[in-house]
Amino acid sequence: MAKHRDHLQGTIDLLVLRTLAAGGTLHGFAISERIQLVSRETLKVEEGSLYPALHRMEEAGWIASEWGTSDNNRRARYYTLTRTGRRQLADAEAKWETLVSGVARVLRQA
Amino acid sequence: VSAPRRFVNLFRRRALERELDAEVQFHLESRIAIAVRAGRTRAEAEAEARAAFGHVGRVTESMREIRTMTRLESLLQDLRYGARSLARGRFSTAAVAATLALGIGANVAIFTLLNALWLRPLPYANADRLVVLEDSFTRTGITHVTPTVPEFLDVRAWNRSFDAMAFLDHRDLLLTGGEEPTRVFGGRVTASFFRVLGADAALGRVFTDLDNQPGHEQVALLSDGLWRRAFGADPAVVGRVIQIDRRPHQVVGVLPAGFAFDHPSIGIREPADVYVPFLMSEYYTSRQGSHSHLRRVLALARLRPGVAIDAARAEMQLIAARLTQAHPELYRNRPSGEDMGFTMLLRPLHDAVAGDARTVLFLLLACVAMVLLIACANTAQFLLARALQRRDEVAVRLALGASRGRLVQQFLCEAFGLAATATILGLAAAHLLVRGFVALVPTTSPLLARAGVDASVIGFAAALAALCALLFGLLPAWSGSHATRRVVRGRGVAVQPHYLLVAVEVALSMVLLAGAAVLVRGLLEISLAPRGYTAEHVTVLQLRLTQPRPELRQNGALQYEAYLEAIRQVPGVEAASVLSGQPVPLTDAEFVIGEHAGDAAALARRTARLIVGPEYFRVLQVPMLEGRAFTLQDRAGQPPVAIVTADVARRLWPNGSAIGRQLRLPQPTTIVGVVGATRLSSAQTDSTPQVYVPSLQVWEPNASIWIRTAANVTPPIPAFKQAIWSVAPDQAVFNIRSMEEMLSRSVADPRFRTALLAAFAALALLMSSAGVYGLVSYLVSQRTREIAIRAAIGAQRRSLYWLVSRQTVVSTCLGVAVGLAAAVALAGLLTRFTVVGRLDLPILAGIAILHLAIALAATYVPARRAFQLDAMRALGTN
Repeated sequence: MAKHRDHLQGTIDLLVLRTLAAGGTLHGFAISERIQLVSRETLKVEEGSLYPALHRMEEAGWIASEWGTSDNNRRARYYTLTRTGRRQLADAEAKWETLVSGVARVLRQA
Repeated sequence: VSAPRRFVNLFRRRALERELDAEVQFHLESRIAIAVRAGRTRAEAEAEARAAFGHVGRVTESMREIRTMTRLESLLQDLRYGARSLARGRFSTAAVAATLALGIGANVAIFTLLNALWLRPLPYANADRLVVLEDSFTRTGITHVTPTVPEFLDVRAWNRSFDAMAFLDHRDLLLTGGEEPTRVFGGRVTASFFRVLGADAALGRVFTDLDNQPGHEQVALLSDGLWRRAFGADPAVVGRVIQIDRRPHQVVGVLPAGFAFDHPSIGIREPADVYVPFLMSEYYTSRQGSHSHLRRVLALARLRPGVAIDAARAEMQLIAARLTQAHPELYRNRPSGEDMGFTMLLRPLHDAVAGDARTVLFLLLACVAMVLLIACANTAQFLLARALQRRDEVAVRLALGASRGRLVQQFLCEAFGLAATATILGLAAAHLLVRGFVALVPTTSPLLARAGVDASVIGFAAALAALCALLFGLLPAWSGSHATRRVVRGRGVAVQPHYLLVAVEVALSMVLLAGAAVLVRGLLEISLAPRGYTAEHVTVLQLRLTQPRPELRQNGALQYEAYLEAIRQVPGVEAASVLSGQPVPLTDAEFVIGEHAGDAAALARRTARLIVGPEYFRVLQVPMLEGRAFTLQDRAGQPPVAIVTADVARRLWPNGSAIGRQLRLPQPTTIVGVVGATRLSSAQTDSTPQVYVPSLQVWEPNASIWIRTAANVTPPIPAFKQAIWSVAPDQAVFNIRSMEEMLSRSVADPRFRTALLAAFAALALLMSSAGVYGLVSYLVSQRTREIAIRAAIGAQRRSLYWLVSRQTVVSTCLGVAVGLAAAVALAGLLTRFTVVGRLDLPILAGIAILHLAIALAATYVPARRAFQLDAMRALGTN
């Protein structure tokens, strides 16, 4: 159970970091929209689960947040990638690549 | 990095809450806005947005957890909750906290004393290297005797273990020149004494080695106390000449206020007022002097840095063997040549100084620890009952998903809060207890005077608090959160822990009470044992006779006789006698009787020799069994005579009379009388075998005068003093008291210990009774409904009573059984407390019955209350 959640969490983290790296400063809703768009709705997660992940990553120092005003003139919390976050992203991507290529190799040989 | 922010968030919970809500709301609003633009109704859009988002409450909760120190936050909550709920049951909480505070306070107090006495180093320089040198005659059972001056000198000359050695010798000194002649307590020391202890003078100087040499010895060092008392703290006292023992002494210095070396356990019973140099004359230093081999001095040595005490001990054995070889006439019995097993021992000074008191304090600590355990058991019961009462609330919380750990934490918080409060109160109680102990303890010590709260005491108190909290917190926490599950599943209440606690309490209180009973019995036996004399209407004065007046110099004993003659003229006086040395206790006066016909070894070796005047047996009303008392004719120049007690006569000459027989004391002495056995030391029930010699033949400078007055007369103390001063105006008279007072003081130490232990035992009994009462009350309250129904359908009183009391009686019996076994197992320890008391069947049976009776009584009251309840009301309330 816990293992499974870790894995999912790791995936969300990676997606959020990737999204912020590409999109700059975004609020939670925008991040959620982009992830869904990019993943073409293959990742079915509740939208709410994004927010604890954002707060956890901010606590970890990977992203930073500040309050700003959105396009429709409402107060929203905006997140940006920090330098630590960028390193974390590179790490996570490398690990992900290793995992994926490993799994792919196994699948090919099986 | 974020820890501080998370901590701060603890205190801005509202603001944090608003931020989190705003963020979630923004998300939902954005989603709704898109859906509305796509043509949905507002309501549809909202429902969809929420469905896509998931459980809003859970999301914000988990964000909050990330943003704050959740554990700390819940801890703060639990503490607040615990404090509130404890405050609700104000009276019972106060009672529990008070007993706990008392238990913790007593433990902290005893620890404080132990810390002062034993854990903190002695207040002397290099205290861990200081040792006491002692003689031991292993074949004769005589050990821990201080060495003689020649022995000390040989050890000092031959050893390689010590870098400094010193000795001291205490006696009463006469200080004249003030308003009336005063006796002061003086130490005669080697100059090295102050070097060894690392003490320096506050004014002037301490002694130099030259001061010990003949012709230089008439100098004195004042204690801070005497300097203030007799010299008005005059800084110009240094250089002044004062009269000590009628000889001029120049004051060379004043010792600092903090310097003290009055340790009763090494024979120094009171603080020295003045120090003078020990005169290193031939008389003392050679083995030829008439007393040089009998005069024993307290010898101290400082181990060289790096020398282990065991290495030094080995060296002392070699030196003792060398002494035995060099002086066979001193270390072998004459004339049999039997080896006395002479050797020399070393004891760390701290051991010697703290020894017995340390043992007593450790035992007291064990006793108060038991009291505290009982208090903890009571507290556990109290918390357990509360935990079970709250089981509905807890069940709901469990159902709502509260974790087991969180519940345990909450119970523990309550326990820790209670322990912390009790410890703060306990520290205050400990402070008072320590002050009381130091003020009341009969045999005090400068080490106890420094008892106070320091870092290690605080640390001990904190550790004790934590330990107690765990002890009485874990069981209710476990049981409380456990029982709830059963309740949830519809089962009964677990009460076994309650019974176990009662059994533990009863067992502990049994052990303490058994100990106290043994001591009390010992004291009673001592006070009831026949003394062999009549102490009523006897007054005792102590004298310090120095150089007799010139006209009486021929025989100092005549001066005593002159005093006695003057005292006999005082109206109301019936008889008066002199007795040499310290009358009680007599251990100091014990000596070895030499060989004589029919040596009854063990008895003879521990016989006390008393120097008494002709009227001594009349003063104490000791029956004369055979022969005659001393007369004025038994004086110097006449054949030496002695009187023995009946037990000595019987042991040495079992068949036939002792009259006319000879004793070697060490000169041949003829026995002229036999008197009844007397028990002068009040610390034991046996009489001390005694040999009396006449004061007109043997003389010692320290003596007491014993006066019997008529029954209807108040002893005219000023008249006694005037009578003595009419003979010698500069005679110091001190320690004037009745013999009864003196005897009572001689048992003050065991009495004090007994009183302390009895107080602890009473406290334990009270607490364990309260525990039993609390348990039954709780059980009855739990079963009110059941009892009411049973009563309504006609159950007998007796069977109902049995229903509620059965378990209590069973667990009390269990506690009694365990307590009896423990008391018997621990009985050996008590011999450290008392010489006479012993554990026997009547004591054991008595305390067992007492505990059972209390348990039954404690059961009866709440049970009766339950029976009287109206059935309808009992059913209606629940």
